[in-house]
Order: sequence, then C-alpha cells, then structure tokens
Amino acid sequence: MKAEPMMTYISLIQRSQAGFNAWTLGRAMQLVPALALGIAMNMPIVTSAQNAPEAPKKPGHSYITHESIELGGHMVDRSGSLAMWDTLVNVHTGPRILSHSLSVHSTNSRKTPFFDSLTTNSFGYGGDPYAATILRMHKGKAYKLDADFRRNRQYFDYDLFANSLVPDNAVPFVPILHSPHLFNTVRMSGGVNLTVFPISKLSARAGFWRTGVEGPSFSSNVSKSNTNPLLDQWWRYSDDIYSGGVDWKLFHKKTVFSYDQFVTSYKQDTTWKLDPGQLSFQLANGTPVSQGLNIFTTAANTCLVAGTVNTIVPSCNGTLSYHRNEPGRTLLPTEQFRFTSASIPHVTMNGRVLYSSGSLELNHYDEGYAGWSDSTINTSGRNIIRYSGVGPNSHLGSLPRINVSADYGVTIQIAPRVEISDVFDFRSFRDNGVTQPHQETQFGTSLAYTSNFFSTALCPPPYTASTCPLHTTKTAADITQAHRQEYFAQTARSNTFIAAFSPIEKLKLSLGYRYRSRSIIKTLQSTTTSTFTPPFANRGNCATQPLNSDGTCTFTPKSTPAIENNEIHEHWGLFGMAAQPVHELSLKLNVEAMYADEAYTRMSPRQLQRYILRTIYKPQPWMNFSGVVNILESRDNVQYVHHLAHSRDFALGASIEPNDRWSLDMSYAYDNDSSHTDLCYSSTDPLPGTGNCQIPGSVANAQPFLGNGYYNYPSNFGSVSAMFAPVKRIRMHAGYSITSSDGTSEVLNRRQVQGSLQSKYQLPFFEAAFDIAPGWTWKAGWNYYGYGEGSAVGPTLPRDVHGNAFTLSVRHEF
Amino acid sequence: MLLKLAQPALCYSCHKDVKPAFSRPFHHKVNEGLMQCTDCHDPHGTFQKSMTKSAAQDDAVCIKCHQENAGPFIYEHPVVKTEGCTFCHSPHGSANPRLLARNNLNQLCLQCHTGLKGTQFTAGGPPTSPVHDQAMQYTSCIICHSQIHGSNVVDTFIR
Repeated sequence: MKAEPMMTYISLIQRSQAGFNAWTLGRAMQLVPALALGIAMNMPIVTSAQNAPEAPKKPGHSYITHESIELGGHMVDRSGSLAMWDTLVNVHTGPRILSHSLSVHSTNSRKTPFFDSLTTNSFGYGGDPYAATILRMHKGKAYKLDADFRRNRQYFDYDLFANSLVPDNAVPFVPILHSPHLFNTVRMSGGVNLTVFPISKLSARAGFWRTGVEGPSFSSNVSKSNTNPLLDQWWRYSDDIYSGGVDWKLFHKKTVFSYDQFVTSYKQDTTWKLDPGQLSFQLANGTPVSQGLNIFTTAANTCLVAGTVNTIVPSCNGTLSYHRNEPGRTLLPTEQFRFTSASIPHVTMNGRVLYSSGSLELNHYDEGYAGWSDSTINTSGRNIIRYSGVGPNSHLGSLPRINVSADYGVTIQIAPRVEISDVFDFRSFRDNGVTQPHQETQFGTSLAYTSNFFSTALCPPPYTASTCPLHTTKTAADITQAHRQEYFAQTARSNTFIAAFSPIEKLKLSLGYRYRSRSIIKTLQSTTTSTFTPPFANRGNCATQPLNSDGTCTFTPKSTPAIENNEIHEHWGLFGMAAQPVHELSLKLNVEAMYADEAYTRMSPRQLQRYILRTIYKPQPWMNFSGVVNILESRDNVQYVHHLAHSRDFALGASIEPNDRWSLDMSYAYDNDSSHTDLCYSSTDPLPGTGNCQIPGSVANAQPFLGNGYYNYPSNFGSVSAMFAPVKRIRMHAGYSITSSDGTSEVLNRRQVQGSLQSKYQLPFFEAAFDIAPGWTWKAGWNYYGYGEGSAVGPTLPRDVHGNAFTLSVRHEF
Repeated sequence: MLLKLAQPALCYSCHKDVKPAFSRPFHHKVNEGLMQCTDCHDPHGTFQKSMTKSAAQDDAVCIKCHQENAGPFIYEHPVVKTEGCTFCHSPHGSANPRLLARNNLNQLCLQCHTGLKGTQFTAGGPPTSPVHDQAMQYTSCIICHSQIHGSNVVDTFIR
C-alpha cells in the first residue's frame, strides 16, 4: 500500500510553478518569437553603409548618453527531473527584460552640477532566477556613489538530501520522493555606498546594505514523538548593515588613517509548523495524524488498524500538531580603525583594530507540540508540550557577544634586493548566552487520550478525581524551568615573518616562519527546576522532598559547570619563488608546511603541506597559456583517527585572441579530493566485511562497527569556447563545458547511492548576434543543460535531467 | 574599474584551478553573473587566508549573505566558529548538494562524532558520538539535527 508523501506542500510549490509554466509556455511560445521577430521586422532595412550607430544624444549639450535595452525571452524544452532542473538551472519559458544599460557622461563638468558620470547595468528581470542592477556615479572630486541590487530565487530539491531512504518493506510504505529539506526561497540584497571628497585629504563615506530572505521550505525535527514530522518552515529574515567612516590622508597622501563604524541589525522571524500534507493518517475518530518521515514498521508490527489503509492504532507514536515561533533580534555595533603608510622610506605598513560588541535578544518564544510518545522515561507518554520563555514577553534568552581583532603588517626594504616583512594577527570572540526555557507537559496513554493539566479546581485532594493529570510514580516532571549559561570563546594569535631576496633581477626567493596559537574555551552551567504536580507529586527527584502548600513538589538540583579548554600551537614553514626566466614566461611557486601539537577536531590537520605552482607563458600579447598545480596534503594520523586527506588540482588553459574577428579559449583540469578517517557507527544491518570498532568507548556508546570514512572525488573538467565575427555585423559565440566525476564514498546504509558524486554535467551553448540596423541587434542563443548520474537512483525519484533553453531577443542602443 | 578583462574571466586567466568548481552541479552563481569574485575576495590583499574579505563584525565573509547560519546562537556548533564554513562546505562549487565536502552527510558528521568524551582524538573531549542506527530510517543526521549551524533552544540542534 502506498500513501502520497508530503503532498500538500510539494503541491503548493510545484503547482504555483506549474501554473506559471502553463501560462508562459502557451503565451510565451507566441510572445517570445513574436517579440523578437516583430521588433526586428519593424526595423528599417539597412545596408552595411548604414551600420554605424546613431550619434549619441546630448541633452542640453552637457551629457553624452548611451542606453541599450535587450528584450526577448526564453523557450525551454526539458525532459527528466523537474526538481533537478529547478535546482540546477531554474530557467523557464517566458518573456524577459534580458538586459538594460545606461551611461551618461558629462561633456562639461561646470555645467553638470549633480554628476559627471552615471552608469547602470541590469539583467535578468521578468522571471529569470538571477537578476541584478548595478549603479555607479560620481561628480569630480565631490563624491562617488556605488549601488547594487541582486535578487535570486533559490530552489533546492536534490531528493537524496536529508532523505530517510525508507525501505520498501515498511508498512505502510511511504517513500520520500522529495528532499525533506526542499526550499524555494528568494534572497534579495542591495546597498548603496557614498564617498564624499574621495581624493581629498579628508574624505567621508556612508553606506547601507540589506539582505532579506523569504519563502517556504521543508524542515524536520525530532519533536517528542520520535516520528520526525515534516515541517513547513517559512523563512523570513533580514540583515541591515549601516556604515559610516572617514579617511584622513597625510604626508602627501602616503599615510591614510581610517575610522569606520558599522551597525548590523539582524531580524529573524522564521516560523515552523507541521506540514498539513503530513496529516495523511487518522485515528478511528477521524482526527488527522502525522506519522512523520520515518514510518518503519513491519507487517507483523504495523501501526495500521487491520483492514484500513490510513487509520492508526492510537498506541502508536504520532504528531497531531506542532508550531514554533522564535523571533530573534541581534544588534552588533562595530568600530574599526585602520591605517596604511608608505611615508617612511623603504617601509610600508598597515594595520587594523576592530571592536564589535552586541547582543541577541529572544522574546516572544512560543513552541507547542501535540501528539503522543511512549517515551522510555515515562510510563505515561507525553501528549501536549508547551514551550515558552519567562515574563510577559516570553523571554527565552539573550546572548552578549564581543569580537576583537587587531592586525599589523610591515615590510622593510633593507637592501635593494632584500626585504623582510612581518604580519601579526589577533582575533578573538566570546559569546556568553543565557536561556530560561519553560516547559509544561500533559501526559496521556495514547494518541486518543490526553489528561488535564493540574489545578486544584480540577484535582483537589486526595487527587483521585478523574479530572486529575494522569501520573504514575515514574512520570516525569510536569513543569521544568531551566537556567542555562553557555560561554564560548576563541582567541587566535599568529605571527608570520618572511625574508625575501632577489639574487638576480628576474628571480625572487622568500623564506618564512609562522607561529599560530588558538585557545578555545567552552563552558556550560545548567540548572533545571522541576515541578511535580499531584497525583504522586513525591516522585522522581522529588521522592524525598517536602510538598508545597498546593500539593506540588519543586526540586532544584545543584549544578556543576562543564568546562572544555583547548590549546593548539601551530608551526609553519613558508617558501616562495617568483621567476621570469624569459620575458614571455613567469613562474610562481609557494610551499607551506605546518605542524600542530593538537587538533580541535578529528578532521583538523596536525600536519599539512601545500604546494602551488602557477605559470603563465605569453608568447604574444594576444596569446596566453597557463598552468596550475595546487596540491594540499593534510593529516591527523594518530591512533583511532587515521585522518588522511588530499586535494590535488592540475589545470591547463589557453587563450588566443589575435583580433576582433575570432578568439579561442580552452581549459582542462583534473581535480581529486580524497580522504579517509576511522569512524564508528551503529547499524542493525551492517554491510558484509564491516569491521569491529576498537576505538575506546565505541561499543559502550553503541557504535560497534568500524568505517573508513572513505571519500574520493576525481573530477575532469574541460571547456572550450570560441568567438567568430566573419563580418562586422555578425558575431557568433559557441562553447562547451563538461564536468565529469566518477567518485565513490563509503556506504554505511545499503540503500545509499552515490548520486551526484558519479555524474556528468554538460553545458554547451551557442549565441549569435546580427546588427540589423544602426542601433538594432537581433540575437539568438541556445543553452543545453545535461545532468546525468552514473549510480543507481536509490529509493526515490530519478534525478537525471536535460533540456534546451532557447533565447531570442532584440537589443536596441540609443 | 579599468580592468583588462571583466570578472570572472580576468581571475580565471591565472586561477585555472578554481574555474572548474564553478561548473560543477552545485556552485555559487559566479558564471551566471549574480556574484563576482570580488564579493568574497579582495585581490589587493587582506589579513585573511585566501584574501577573503570579512563581514562587518569581522565574521566570515559568507555571512554577508548567509546570516541565518552565522548566529550568534545561544548554542553554537563550535566548529562553525572555530574552523570556519569551509570545514564542511566547498565554497566555490561541489558535486555534492549544499556545497558539502561529502556526498553522504552522515559520513561528514561521523568523522568528528566518533568516540567518547575524554578520549584523545579531539583536543578537548566532545563531541560525543551518536547512537542512531545507520541501517534504519534515521539515516540522515539532519532529519533530527536540522538546526546544525546553531540553535537558540537546545544544544543538540534538534530545534
């Protein structure tokens, strides 16, 4: 038997998109060519002699204005997974404002008091997933202003991500066909920066930057029902950054002192609630029930009422409702002082000191769960749980935070061919959060039965009324009020000394040493006051405690802080070489080697080597060949960890652009990311050959099986693109790129597949532009997107997708 | 800006090893024009590794757009702050969803979350290890630990 998974919310998202497609496909298939060709048909027929653009307009003879707009649209033909198309490409059929640009330049700055130059460029409006506008303007020495706006729709439904991979022998079998963490959000960001008197001795600047994200997604949590209900998460947050600062230039402007003030205001209003589509089961009385993402019972132990397809036995775990509102407000004022100086002969310096002190405030916290869980610590399961903060604003907590950074760098030319440099860097942060979560619980015996919360009216002594809460002598506390204080801080210091020497004119060698230390401290002190209400108020931790006057019992244990303290010391050796053996060839080599006496995590390297070689051969000004070798080897190769990792990149490129008629660009790269780490895990169905974990504590911690954490991602990338303009009025651009990977990673679950680790992603394209009249250009484009996986699909929907996106447009310059 | 070439072509002309990452299935939208290399890097130099910029309050540049993962949180996932975003994510592009460094998220988690407090594999002790059955339906760690970057409610990041 099958139930429809996650129907409502998926339908909501895809229905809106399907509706959009239905409208656009029908209309746009007519509109797009009509728009592009219609405009073109109405253009004057011209000869090549008429090909020169019209003279730019000069409003008031003070400005030269150039403007262009490109109108057209896409026609998309796709086959395969719509979810992956939207995840990777998300281009759909419809008319678009493909681009717009405007430049206005003054011809006589005395007659243009407001600005000398203004340029703006835009693209992607009308339905493309990415749209942006950039504005630049300035007025001589008076000011310059930069502004931009960006919008991108983020659709994500890679169905293996966060998928529970429900086995097909589950009863009922409810496969998860979409990612439980699917999202469809829109991010909009933009800002403006104004600098007054930018090249004067004293200049000032002010700015504003805002990022906002809003939209739906799926989420999940463990709730209290052990069924991992699927949640609808509505993202809504914004981040406003206000900035202001001054620059003071001294000593012929060779020394600059700068002061900046930033104020960051972050508002978090994301909410969560149970996905209505999850309520696909019901109790016998018709009450909708969510069985969550992890329905897995066997035919012999099913939660279904015999003879039904969606009626749940009330003694099974389930969720009836859930919601969470946890608004947060963070204000982070930051001050920064910087300087750069080249006033002292043969000495250059720069430095910075930054101090940021702010806090997070959490008010109006509201979270609620209704359902049933036969939690092992209770003989009565939990039915209703209410979470809140304290006080009239339901204050959950606050978190003061301080960031302090200081950097100083100096380079001294001690001889014509010898220089030394030193860089000191200090960074520190500390968070000191306090929360006071309040929890009230009502207990019951099944999904169908909820007892009352205690009150003397409903449950007077001797606490035997049928309206009393349902307690046994082992029932957990009815009310908990916690007070938790967590302190978390890191202080990092590093100093890098480098001596550089040029034995000959075209060769520079450098040798250096870096010392870096980190101190990480984390403490947690937590106290939870428990209140046990009648009946059986003397239970649990209150078994020997005196009762309160209303018959309840309160217990507050002594708390002991948990303290972690980590000290890590790193020693680095640095070597560099820059050479130009012949005029056309340049080489740069950097080698780093690091040893650390400790590792903060098992994957943090205790030894590291990095080799980077970059070379460029430029036999002609229009011909460029380049190659890169970038190798990183890192290890935490101690007993029980054996973490070995490498990233090895080899890349070649050629760029040939002899004239305006044609050009060619080619790239090839082989990358290999690989790692191995001992890991232990729990499994009731280990794969053949799985070893026994010998790591101390693993068996006691129910992790008896040994894994190797193997991950190997070899990837080949190739791209070629060519531009060809046979005559001045016609330009063509074609290209192809492919990323091919045949990676593997350790399989811990036999239903796991490699997915995108074994995939090919191909992106060929062709563009043509034809100048049909002075200032008018007809353009056509074709993009192909092909994504295919080499591994098995797994217990979900296929992810392969390929499609063609045709773009027709007309560009007009005026 | 009087550049010889527009971004990203100018950057790719030397950084050929970086270019492929932006053509992987999951990548930051640099080739698409939404982002530029200079959104995250300052080619003239910074005090940060890889010449990355910093956010206003000196956090990682990533949080300029991804503030929701930066907190501050009452309960921080410590590695986010100490080791940085690139400990788990490949910032330019990846074959793996969410730019993760592994295709199997559980493997990524288990590499740190193995063993018990007090053993020698980590400098300080925690993290402790999960006990969840990798063969059962709870195969994805973030099904439960959905607030993995940090939480204001519980230190296990489940809400």
